[in-house]
Amino acid sequence: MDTTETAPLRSAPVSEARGRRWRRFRNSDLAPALVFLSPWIIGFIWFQVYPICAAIYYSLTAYNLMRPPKFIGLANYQQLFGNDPLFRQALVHSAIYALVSVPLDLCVAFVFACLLNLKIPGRAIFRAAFYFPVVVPTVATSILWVMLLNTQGGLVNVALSVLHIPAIPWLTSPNWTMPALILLSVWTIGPPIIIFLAGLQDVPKELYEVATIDGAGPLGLVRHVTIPLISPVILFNLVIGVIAAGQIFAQPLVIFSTTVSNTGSADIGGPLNSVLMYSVQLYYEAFQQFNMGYAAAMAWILFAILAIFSVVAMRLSNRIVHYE
Amino acid sequence: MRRLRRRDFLRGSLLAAAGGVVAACSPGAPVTDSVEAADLANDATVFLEFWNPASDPTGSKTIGGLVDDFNRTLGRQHRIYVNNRIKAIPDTGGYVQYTTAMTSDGSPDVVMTYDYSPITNWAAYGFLRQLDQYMTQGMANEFFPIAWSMIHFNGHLWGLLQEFDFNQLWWNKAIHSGPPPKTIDELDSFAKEYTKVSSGGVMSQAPVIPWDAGADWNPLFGGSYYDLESSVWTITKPENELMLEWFAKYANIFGGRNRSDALESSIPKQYGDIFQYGKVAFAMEGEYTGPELKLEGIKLNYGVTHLPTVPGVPLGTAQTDGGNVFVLPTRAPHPEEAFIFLSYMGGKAGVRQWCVGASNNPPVKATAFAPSFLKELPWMTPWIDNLNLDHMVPPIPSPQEALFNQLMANAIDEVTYGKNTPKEALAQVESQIATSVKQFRVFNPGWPGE
Repeated sequence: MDTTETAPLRSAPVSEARGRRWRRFRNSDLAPALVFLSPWIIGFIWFQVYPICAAIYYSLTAYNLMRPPKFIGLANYQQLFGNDPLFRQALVHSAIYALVSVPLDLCVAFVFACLLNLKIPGRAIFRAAFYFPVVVPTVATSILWVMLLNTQGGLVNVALSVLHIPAIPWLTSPNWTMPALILLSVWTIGPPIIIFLAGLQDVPKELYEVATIDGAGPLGLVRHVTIPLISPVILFNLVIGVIAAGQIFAQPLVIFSTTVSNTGSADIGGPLNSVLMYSVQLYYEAFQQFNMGYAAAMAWILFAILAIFSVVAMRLSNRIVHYE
Repeated sequence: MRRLRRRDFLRGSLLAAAGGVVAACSPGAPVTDSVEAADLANDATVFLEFWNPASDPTGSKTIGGLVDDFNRTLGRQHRIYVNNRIKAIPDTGGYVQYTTAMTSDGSPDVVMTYDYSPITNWAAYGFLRQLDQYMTQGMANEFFPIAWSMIHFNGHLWGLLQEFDFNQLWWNKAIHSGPPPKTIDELDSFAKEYTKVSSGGVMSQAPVIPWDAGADWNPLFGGSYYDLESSVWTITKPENELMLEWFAKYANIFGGRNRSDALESSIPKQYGDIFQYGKVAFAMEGEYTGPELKLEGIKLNYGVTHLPTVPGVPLGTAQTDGGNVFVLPTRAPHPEEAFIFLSYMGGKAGVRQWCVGASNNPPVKATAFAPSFLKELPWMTPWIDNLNLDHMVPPIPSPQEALFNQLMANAIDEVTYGKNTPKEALAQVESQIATSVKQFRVFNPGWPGE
């Protein structure tokens, strides 16, 4: 009895508070902000959050797109770690690629960013020129590189022959395919250059003046002033670079499926599978063999590896990255 | 003038966005519009979505012409209008766009492929409708047995072929002026003579680059990776080692596989190896290579004959590689009408028009044996002769075929780069296929064989 009597008494202040909150919400900037953000929010939830969550479920199933997924627990993961040499091969190749190409790209990008930060005539043109390769579609540049790197008659080898260096089988020898792919990554260093440039322009000029007065030479300025001050930018480029390198897909797929010396269309990993990359193998499992569950498990393993790397890099960075 | 209030502005924005979404989702215009579609739209006409990869000049002209013909004739009669949707496939292979569309509610009604490779997988995983109900009396006899086995496997009819391809031995008369070799030993007898390597190690001419045709050489050595009778993989059969041993022999003759790789990488790849630009004496080439050479303006004095074999394997043995296949997706919205269109494209008119236009092998005997066919395409004589011999080997009708091709390509690499023995390389392939078969069986118990 008591409860029935007291309920309306209690609900009045509750509904009043709700009404107040609603009025505050209506009068605030939050409502229009949400409305304007909603296309992105809906897109993000539908095209990112949902597929990511769905992939967790599919990785625990046998699923081929056509028939309903069958729950199989951790069988896909057991198969991947227990009895799939192609998975291991692809994982190792992607790791090698990331370990070598990212530091190389960062070093080259940093050097070019420093040069592009100097006050030289035509600086804007040079800056744009270094970004242009990023704008060109990967497929087009990959086909171009196939022609340039031809063993016989490719422009790169023609140039090397001027220096009396024998022709290098860049794309056809299992010993040279990975170095070739790593060198090609330097072609698209536009984004890290731009980010480095932004970082370099934030370094206070007074610090250079002080260091110069203290006797620092050009290399000393870079080592003791520039690098410490842009270390957050270096960390950012490193993490982004490793994530991108771990997911490299279009370049190896296009280059090695259009290279002549192979033994059929299935030769997606280059000669001797020497450049079978993780994302290419994942794509092959998903869309050639319709092992969607297996491919989803591969995707999650890649995600876990990259997430662990990012967390470790951020933790370790506390000691060497200087935030102002 | 009324002041624009925030609520009105938001409402307007939402309406505009919704309008944009609706506009973006509206279907585009079909490629085929030469038939008056307007007068069809008002009655009970069924509109079919036909997906095909014919983005090349020859293909688009032939397929577009056939669709137009159908819409004008049979289509009008049956109140069917076909929208011809050209969906180009990348060089990297794979019918990803097709596969995903076929699994959706907006599945195309009819799908055409330029390759045979996806067919078995699609069939095994439930992407295709079985066409048994449409089979007519004596239909099998109308096809060459090899062509029939490509569309009728595991007890069901899965599609119709418009053409199919297989290789013959081509020889460049500028390098080899004598009669062509009939046996593998005879072919090998020219190996050293026709291998030309400069003092700097650059290869300028090869007798034959065997691994270029992948495992297509295997039947010529009496090998077979799959038993068609029992639907069982036979990868480690001793005969299968012969081809790999032969490949290794040529890699040694060349002084390493790198040399022939370098030679090949210098050849533009618009049309496969296009008979290696005159730098190779012998090669396995398909029936379409002649017109392609002409199209590219490459003048070669060449001959065509049966592929050489080892003793005990009959001349005329050849591996069939693929062809244009027409299939009905499981989720095709109008299967009855789609089959009428499919049988037109895979019927006499469709087969003849395509095979004459693209210089391909007709899968049906009536077209191949019609005197007018060889009159129009006299260079096809060796292929028609070969079909008469009936020693052809079909593609492997197993859902593991895609994986097998990937593994076998690597096995060939391992052997030719001297990293593995033929026996060991085949054992590795078999072990991985066995694992895949085991997995497949668990989730597809209804699929016979494997």
